[in-house]
Amino acid sequence: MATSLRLCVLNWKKNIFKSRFFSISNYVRNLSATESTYEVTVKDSDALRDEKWSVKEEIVIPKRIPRGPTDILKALAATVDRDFTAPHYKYHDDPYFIPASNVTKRSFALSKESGRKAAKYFLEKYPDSFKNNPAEPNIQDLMPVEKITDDSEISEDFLLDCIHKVEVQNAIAAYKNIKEKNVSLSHETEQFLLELLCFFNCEESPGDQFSEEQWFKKLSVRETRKTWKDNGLAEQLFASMEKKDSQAYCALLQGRAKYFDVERAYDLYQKMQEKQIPANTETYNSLLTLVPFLREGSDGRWSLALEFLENMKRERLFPNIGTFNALLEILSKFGLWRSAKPLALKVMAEMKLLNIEPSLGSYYYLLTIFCKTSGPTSPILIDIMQNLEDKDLKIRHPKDVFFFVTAMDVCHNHLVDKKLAYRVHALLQKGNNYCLIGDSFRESIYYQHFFRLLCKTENIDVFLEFYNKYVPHIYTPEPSVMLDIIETIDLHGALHYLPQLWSDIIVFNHAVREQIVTTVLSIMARGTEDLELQKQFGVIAWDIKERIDSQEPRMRSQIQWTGQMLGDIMMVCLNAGEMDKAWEMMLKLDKEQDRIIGNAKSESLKRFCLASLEHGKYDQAIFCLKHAMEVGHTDIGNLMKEQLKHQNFTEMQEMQIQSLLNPETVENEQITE
Amino acid sequence: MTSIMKSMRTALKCIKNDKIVASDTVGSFLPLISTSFHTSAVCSKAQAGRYKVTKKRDRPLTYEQANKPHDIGHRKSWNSWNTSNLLDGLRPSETAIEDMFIRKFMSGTWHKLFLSEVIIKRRHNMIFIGGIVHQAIHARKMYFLLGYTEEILSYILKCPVKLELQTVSDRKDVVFKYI
Repeated sequence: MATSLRLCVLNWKKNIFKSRFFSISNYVRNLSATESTYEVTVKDSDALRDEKWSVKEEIVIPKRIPRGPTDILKALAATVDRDFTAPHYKYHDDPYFIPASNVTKRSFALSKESGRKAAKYFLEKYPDSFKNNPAEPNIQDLMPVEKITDDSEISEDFLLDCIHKVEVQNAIAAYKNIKEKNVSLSHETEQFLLELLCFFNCEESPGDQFSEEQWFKKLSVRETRKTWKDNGLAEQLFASMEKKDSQAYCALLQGRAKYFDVERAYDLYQKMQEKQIPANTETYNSLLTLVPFLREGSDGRWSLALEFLENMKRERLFPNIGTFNALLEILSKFGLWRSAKPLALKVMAEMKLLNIEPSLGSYYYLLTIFCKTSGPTSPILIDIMQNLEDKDLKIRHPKDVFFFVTAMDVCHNHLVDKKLAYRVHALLQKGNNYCLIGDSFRESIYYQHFFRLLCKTENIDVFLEFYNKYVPHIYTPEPSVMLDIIETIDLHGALHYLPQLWSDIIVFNHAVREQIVTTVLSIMARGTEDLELQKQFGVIAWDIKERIDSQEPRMRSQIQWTGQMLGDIMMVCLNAGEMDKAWEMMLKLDKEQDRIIGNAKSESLKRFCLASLEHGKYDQAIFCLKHAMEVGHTDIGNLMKEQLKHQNFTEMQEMQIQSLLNPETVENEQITE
Repeated sequence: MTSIMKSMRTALKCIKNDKIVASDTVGSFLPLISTSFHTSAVCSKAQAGRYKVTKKRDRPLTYEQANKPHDIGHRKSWNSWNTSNLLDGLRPSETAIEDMFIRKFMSGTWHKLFLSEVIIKRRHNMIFIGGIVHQAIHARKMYFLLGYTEEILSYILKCPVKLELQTVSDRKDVVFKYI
């Protein structure tokens, strides 16, 4: 399906290119026609007679909007919404290939990418095997990258080309090659190379060819660890530059700041100040991000930030979104310093004054400043949403991707506001805003908060409708969320959803989680009045039993049988009228006592006793009584004592019961005899 | 009768050796040969795409295999779809060679997994490779092969390559009949 859609798009593209061409030529014709007569008067013989009808109409030609080569595809894509009933396009369109659980979603996508990487490896290792090139024009991305050796003749243009294509390793090799031949480079080229090396810390850029790894990457352990290469090529290049101008200093400083070489970045700044080398706005922005590392305590940090701002003012630099976001970041790390909130509002006001529109990242910082778990409740998200609603958002700052997940967190934990959550979600769904969700980790946290909130606040039927829309293709609930959903269903008494949920639990591979299994069992054991549903519960309970019995011993997390689980299964079987299965459970309960943790509840044993008496299976009832007496549920004894009068036990059976009920008296009698 | 056969044989020999109509005997029998005997019969016996019936009648055939070559276009369709061989078509020989290469690549990379023919379709600048695959290995491993095949064939053929696979759980699912 995916491919056919792509093809349609291709076809459309072809047609639309034609029509676009025509519209452009029409436009050109119009333009040339109107050049001579700017004003076209509408001449109508009737209108001329009647003066009030003579209208001078001016034709205003709209300005031509410059279009990119993919604009039409984007416009077409905007007409199609995400299909909730189908898996993502990256998955192959066949039932066997469609993932449901989070683990399979991840492993399938990554496996595919791993295969592509393997192919790329062969391309790089054996470039000679890929020389055949029927493509016309040449497609650079499908050709092996030319390897640079010491002997190869490298020109400055080649180096510039490498920099332009963001091939860091190649650029480094080319630079070394040129240096060995003692050819001098122009100052611009050196500057470009320095910028490239500083930006990527002399490492290959991750590129955009393999995006799945980025999407599924776990959050890095510590983002603030120093990773800057102390004696890397960037530093060497900077040292070797003959003319060190402001740009070179700025590039190096930003590189050091980006990879958290805090001290030396600050040293460099001070050196620049001494030599009176001006810095640019971006450099100040990266310095501002370092403020929390340079100073301890909120006051000290803020005063240093102000010092930077003063210097910016002195150098006549205009702040941009990065400056303000860095300021807000400093404020967000203040902890509980009281003036953080008014200061943050001041920063926002300043932004408005300078006509800089806040990015999602700024709002994210606001949320972290205002909505602290230990602090008072703040409705700031409502105001933010009023500003943002119906906007097509674009990424403008790296922290923009934190907004949606934090906003949903605030809706869930801070405000517990269902309507606001829906508004946040509507904003996310609009246009291309979904790109701002970040990565798979943030996406799943976002939905966790959303589902949990709806569990708490939404009508159960509405919630399940929502659940059916988003699960499993958009979101697969984690075990903890699944548990919440099951408990909600129990709370609302909507047990008819349980069979559906159980099949989802199996598909999502949650059936091996002890907590989920026990919760489902204890809910089912309570029973319903719906006979059909009882039967289904019986099937589910037996399925659970089989699953636990057939666990592979190799598995790391095993579900251990507990007395309560067996008792619950027994109850469900009895409710479903499956006496034989209940008896099997009873036998298991007695036989595997040493392996089973805890005992069954006395209610389930009682229920079993009554049911077996009802069916006239006295032996089974006596067996149950024996087991109950052994584990110490004496109330079963009382029950049987009552039943003695009403049931037709044989003499033998009555004796047995008596001996079980009061072992001492019987023993005494035997002795006296 | 034997004498006729004898002279027939010499005649055929003559034709075979390009000694066209040398002796009188042959010449006198030629009309007979051309009317009652088909001299090129052995050569025209088409064998490709036809499967022999086994003694036990246990050779499994897919639907594609069960239909004979003359049914192409009627009851089954082509394994290669392209416009190279139409009037003014581009690269006919290259296309044929490439398709052969793709088939060999697929049977080697997806070893013992393909249960159907490898169908190769060319649309625009893209190549789509289709077929039915047995679910003999884990879906995860198949995804690896998918990514690998698409990417490396793109590198080799210098155009986007897409796989359009379908899977079956049992080899017998594709069997149409036994002969």
